[in-house]
Amino acid sequence: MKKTLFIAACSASAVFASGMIATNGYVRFFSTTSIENIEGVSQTAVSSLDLDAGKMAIKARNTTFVFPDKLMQEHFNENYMESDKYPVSSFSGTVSGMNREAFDAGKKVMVVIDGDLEVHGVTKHYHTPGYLQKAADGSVTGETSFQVKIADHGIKVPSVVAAKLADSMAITSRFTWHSAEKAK
Amino acid sequence: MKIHTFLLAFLPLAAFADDLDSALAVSAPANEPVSATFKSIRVVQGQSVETTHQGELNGTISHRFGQFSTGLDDLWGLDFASMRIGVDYGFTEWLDIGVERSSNNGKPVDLWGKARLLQQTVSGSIPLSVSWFASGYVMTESSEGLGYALPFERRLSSVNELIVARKFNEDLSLQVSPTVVTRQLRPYNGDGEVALGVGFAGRYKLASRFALTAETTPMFYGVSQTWDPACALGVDIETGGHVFQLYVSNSTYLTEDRMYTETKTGPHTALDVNTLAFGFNITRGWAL
Repeated sequence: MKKTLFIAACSASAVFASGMIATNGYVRFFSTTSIENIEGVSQTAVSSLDLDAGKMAIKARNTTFVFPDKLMQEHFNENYMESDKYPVSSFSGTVSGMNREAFDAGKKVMVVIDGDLEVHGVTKHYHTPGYLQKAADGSVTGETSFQVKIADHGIKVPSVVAAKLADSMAITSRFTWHSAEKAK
Repeated sequence: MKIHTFLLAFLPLAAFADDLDSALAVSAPANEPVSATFKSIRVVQGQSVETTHQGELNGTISHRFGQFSTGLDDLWGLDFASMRIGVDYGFTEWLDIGVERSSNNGKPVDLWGKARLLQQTVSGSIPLSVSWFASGYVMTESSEGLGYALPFERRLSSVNELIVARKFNEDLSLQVSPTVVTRQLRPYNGDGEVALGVGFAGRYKLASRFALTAETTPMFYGVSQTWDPACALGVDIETGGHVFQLYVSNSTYLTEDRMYTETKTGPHTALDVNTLAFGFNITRGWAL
């Protein structure tokens, strides 16, 4: 019994060590039309990355998205994202197709990110390329950008503002993960 | 034994998930302010706890038509309209300053400021929002049908309100505002230079961009028995940068000073439909 516990504890810490955490993640969405550009940026998204298991998760509080126009920010939370009901947007999926040798050598490598994005209570599957790079201190930086259709996530846009808001948003995100122990 | 091993195998996963959740909790600021207690700087025609955001210019156009009792001859009041037009600017997130001009008796111009003293937080660490509204009015017409010129100092009035509000949930917001009104020109001997009252107002959101609003400001000191409390019932309709507020009211005034202290419902009861009037506000914000 004691032996089992010991082994389990060792394996636990071993798995734990391969997990990395990012706490000040950058997530930006951008809508552009001929009338108006709309941009919101969160600098406090969090993410976990486990390269051995090929898993990645991201969470961002909707109220942390900052807009140059505060009235837009209020509308974003109150009318579009309904942040009281759905406070967090999240992604959970896999990272695959990585050239491990090049990555370990510190090169910027392309990966395939595959998973479910939950926004406004609606989950949709996405498949997008991304980039990962390992720094000398062991931290990993990654970035990706992809398009999200507003209508796919059940967000209604009134017809009077439809011309100002693009049908799909460009989502850009950038994270730097540190090993879970260091992040603490 | 086997069960233990099985359970322990899940332990690292569970710990990892907890880490992400705790990291997320850390990133949520404890003092995150509650947004949109009301959707406009006015609940209906009276002031709400809200101020215009920093760096934004807010324009308001208000119309109050005549009483429904005028009937078909005056299209149930639509032939008569008092109008108020104004702008205000958010100098900071806590200070909003505005200037307005109204067409009701004396054609007053007013300069007002609204300062946020407390801001309710999502976490509940601050349970209430508190704003202080102060406004000074001067009639630009020197004689309000008096036949002689009214000296400047007789044309002044003021309103101070301490607006205490709480957004109880996504749909319901309520506010209470102790109010002090001073008037240099008063219609009756029973009307005092200083009048005191308490405003009650609320908003109930029925749909994403549609809410029911109501307000009343009974005065309990310094107002002669001729007058009734000003009441209004309305809806907020939001469309992007505009908020449309449509309402019915028992008051013919648009400025706070006279609306609170000189509302007369007519010879009938306070709920006589004929003495009500239709009105609307349109607000539009611009980020400067």
